Amino acid sequence: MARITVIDDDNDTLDLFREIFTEYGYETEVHSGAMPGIRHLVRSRPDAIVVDLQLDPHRQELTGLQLIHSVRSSRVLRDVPVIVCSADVQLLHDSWPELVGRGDIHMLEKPFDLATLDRLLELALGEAPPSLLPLGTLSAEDRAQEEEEA
Amino acid sequence: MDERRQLLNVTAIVHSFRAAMRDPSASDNGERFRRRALDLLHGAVHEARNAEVRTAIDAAILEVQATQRSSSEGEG
Repeated sequence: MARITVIDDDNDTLDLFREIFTEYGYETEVHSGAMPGIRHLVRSRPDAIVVDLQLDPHRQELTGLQLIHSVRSSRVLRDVPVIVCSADVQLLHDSWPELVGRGDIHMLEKPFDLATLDRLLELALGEAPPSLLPLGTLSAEDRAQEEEEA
Repeated sequence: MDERRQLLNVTAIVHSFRAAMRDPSASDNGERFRRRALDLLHGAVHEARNAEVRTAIDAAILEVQATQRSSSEGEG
């Protein structure tokens, strides 16, 4: 199971990524603060990191760009794929020359759909996200729980 | 694409659109965000066969269009 950490100062965006990645069966950690996020990253060394490029500089110790620099300068994290997301496409493109030489980095522009996210996850993780169960289908975990209750 | 994934897709589009509209750049890029969200939602309509999914997409399209009307009113 892939492990993904998301760092974004928008709680609704964290909830969205958590919902999607949980549906995909990924082990997901979300952080709204850059510094707690970094400390977690070093300890857990996830398979991929999703970072908001525009962490609010008034609320955060690091911007998204500074956070990526920190990740890339860390011996344990420098090879971990990073998906950088932002709504500001101009900022994404302006930051790209600085990011592109820093290993496995991918851009995700908001708003996005699952097909776009899936392509980036496949690039980052080396395999496509798993198919979801059809509506009304119980997961193996739910089925086991139902059997236990019955 | 199965229904569950289609519903999750609508959720992804709508929530990432809302996040984009909260972005500091939304005052300049709001129209771009709306166009992109509507393009993605119209793409999702083509794959929707299930009534629940179609209803979710219709509601999402209305929400995106409503932000356009409210910002136009704000400008007026």
